[in-house]
Amino acid sequence: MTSAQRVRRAQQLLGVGAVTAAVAWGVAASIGILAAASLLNWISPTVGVATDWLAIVTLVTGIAVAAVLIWRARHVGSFSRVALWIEENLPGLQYSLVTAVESERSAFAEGIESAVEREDISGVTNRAFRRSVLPALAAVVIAGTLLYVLPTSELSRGGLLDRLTGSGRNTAGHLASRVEKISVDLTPPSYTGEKTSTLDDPSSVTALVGSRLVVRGGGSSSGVTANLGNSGVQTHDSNGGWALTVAMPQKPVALTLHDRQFERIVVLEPRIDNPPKIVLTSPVRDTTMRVAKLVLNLSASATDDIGLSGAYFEYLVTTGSGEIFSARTITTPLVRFGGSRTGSISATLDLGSLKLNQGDVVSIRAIAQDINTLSGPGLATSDTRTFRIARADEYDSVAVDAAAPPPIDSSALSQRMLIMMTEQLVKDSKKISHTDLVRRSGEIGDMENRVKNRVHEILYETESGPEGEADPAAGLQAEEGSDEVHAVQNPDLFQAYQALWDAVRSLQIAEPATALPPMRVALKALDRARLANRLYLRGMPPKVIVDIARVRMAGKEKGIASTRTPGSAADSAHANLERRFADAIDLLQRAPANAVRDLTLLRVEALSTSPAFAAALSDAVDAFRKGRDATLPLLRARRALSGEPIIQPGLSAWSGH
Amino acid sequence: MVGPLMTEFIFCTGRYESGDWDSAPTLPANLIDSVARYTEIATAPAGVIVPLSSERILEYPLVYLTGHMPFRFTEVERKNVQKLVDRGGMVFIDDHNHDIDGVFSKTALEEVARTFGKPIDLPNTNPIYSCFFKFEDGPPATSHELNGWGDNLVHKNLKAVMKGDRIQVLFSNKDYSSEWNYHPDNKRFSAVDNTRFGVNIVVYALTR
Repeated sequence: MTSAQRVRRAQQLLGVGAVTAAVAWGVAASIGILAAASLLNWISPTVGVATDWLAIVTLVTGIAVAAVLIWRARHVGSFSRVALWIEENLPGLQYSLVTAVESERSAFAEGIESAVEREDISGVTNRAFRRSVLPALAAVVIAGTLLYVLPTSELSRGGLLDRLTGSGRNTAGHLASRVEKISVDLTPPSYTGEKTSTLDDPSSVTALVGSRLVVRGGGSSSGVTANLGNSGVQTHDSNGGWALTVAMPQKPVALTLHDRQFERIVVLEPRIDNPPKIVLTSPVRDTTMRVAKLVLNLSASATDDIGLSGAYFEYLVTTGSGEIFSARTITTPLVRFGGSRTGSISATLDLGSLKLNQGDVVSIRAIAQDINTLSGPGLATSDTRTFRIARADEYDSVAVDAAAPPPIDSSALSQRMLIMMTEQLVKDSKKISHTDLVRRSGEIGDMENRVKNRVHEILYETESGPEGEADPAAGLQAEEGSDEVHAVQNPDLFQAYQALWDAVRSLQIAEPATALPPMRVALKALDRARLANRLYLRGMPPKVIVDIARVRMAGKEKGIASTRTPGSAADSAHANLERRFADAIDLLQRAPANAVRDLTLLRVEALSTSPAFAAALSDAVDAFRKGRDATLPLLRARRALSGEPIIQPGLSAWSGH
Repeated sequence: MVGPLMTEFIFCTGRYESGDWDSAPTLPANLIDSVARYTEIATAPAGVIVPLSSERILEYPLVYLTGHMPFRFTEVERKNVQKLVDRGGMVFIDDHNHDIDGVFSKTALEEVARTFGKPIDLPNTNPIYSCFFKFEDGPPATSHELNGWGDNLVHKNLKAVMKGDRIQVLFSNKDYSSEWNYHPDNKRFSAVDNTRFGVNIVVYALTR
């Protein structure tokens, strides 16, 4: 190997060493900057290093360091400078190397070459290579290790790898927090037939109970934890990011996401699948009947917020009395609605086909069910219509206090007796003398006149109102011959009264045969009036009056009133909301992130008790998250909680305080 | 509408449209007698019967309902009883059939669930069993249960709809309506007064 070849080989090795060292120092500088940024985030999370700028600074710094070092090593490209560098490091060459390189064809070349060959040029070169490369590589290793062991693992484990390989999702965005930007894939229960939708960066999710929620974020799942209320939720890697899956619970709850010191709360607001509603549109009222001969047309209409499965009618037939009752339930076939939100059903019921007996009750209602196969089906029942078959003896039920027969009954009995007496007189009229006929007919006529007068009293007493409440003038006017009024108000009694007039007149002139027809008319009219005037009211239980003074503290046993546990104030929940809201507002200036967190958690509790307050809080939290002014939503929240301010006209009176 | 200021306890039997609400007519007097006999609660000597469809029902802290027949609230009745319990009143419903599979029990429990929420089995340690007389084993058994009538069961628990730790609606399948439905003067023939639990119900309704 000639001297020139030796120098060129040294030049190549030194060049590779210089470039390698430059690149390594550049990489070490970049990693060092990332490590410093991670350390800064760890020490002071609120600083929030801007990840986009950090990437640029890291890249530029690395390139700059490498470029400077390469510039400093630019002399490696000069053949003569390398030869002189070797001469400098190997004084024993006595410039023989430089001479050999510059004058390869001199007469002393052979001696010079042998002098060069005696020196260890490759050793010097190799040592120089190691001195330049090894520290640089060590710096890379140290910086990388530092970055790896830092607790801000996002920049190291997984995070850095993702950044370098480009496999991370939204790699630039999760440098500060992997829970800052999330999306939620919302899949409603299958029975709704609704498709999956995606919500971008929601602060709350409203969905049907049982909906499947997949929350996704950027970066590795390592270190990302989640809690649904107080229960932990497992996170996993999915599509280059992290993800977790939860089902929408029955009650509002906070889904809390943690990434190192970062926290994100998403309010899960369940929407209840309301049960359907059904209205029995026909028949419209309850009925009591003597005989079960009735064909009913039934109809009902149903609605639901998601969808109806079907509806049917239910007949509940109750039989029995006293302490023994039995019941049988009959249902019509289910009419299917196939998931539509409205539907109607109709049917015909022949009460005769139910073989009802006296006292039986048929209760009819319509029942609808929705398509909820997850927690349902939700059922709805309509109001019930009852059809009762009256008992033959119920009008004389023992539950009804026995009342004295009304006066009109005794009149009717007397009328029947007088007819019998008159009929007998008509039969005897041919056998007895005219004087006896006149006497007996006159006696019957007097009795009939008393009946007539009694009917007259009843007629006017009944129509003048109870116990003197009637207007005397009105009664007088009625007695003075306002016959039309009486005929309209009690036509049967009035007809009897008129017939009795005719009968009395005939009897008093000794014409009993002529009296009989009006007497019979009067009897029939009185019978009709008797039935028409009888009112059948529901039985009232016997009134028992307890003699309190006699029995007071007369019991042989003694009870002891237990200590009463004081209950909480009725509005304690409301007061608690007000207190927590005020605390969160106070916290806004000092620690806005904590205040937003408190407001979010407050919203979870308010959802069920104060929906208007919760809605206003939702707007306020959204405003905070998006950097907008939250004054108006907070004002609405306060008013929802405390009510509208009361406007008082003028100044209030001086209270002295 | 503001009702009259109540200065004494008035036992109220609720009258509903759908069934035989008046199947235990002497029970109110019997419980009134017991309340006077064992406590110093100022008590009216006779109860009242108030339609559930009337807002007058809101004037009474305890409303007693019973019957054998299908039990349904009309819409007005439902609103009024909801108002009643929301304002701190208590409704005591007793199945006069003593039959959990009976028509009253089934329809009444449906109505209770629809109107107030699903009832729970009331623990036998609830204060209603100790607020005056002590019932260590929970609700006292009735002769109807012990004689095997109705559903031939001795019910271990009553049911209740609670608001917090307070009973809003007390539901019984034990047929206290038969057990307590006798003239109070006949109480002297009993070795142990079987209406003592009724006193607890009244005391609970007035103090909780």
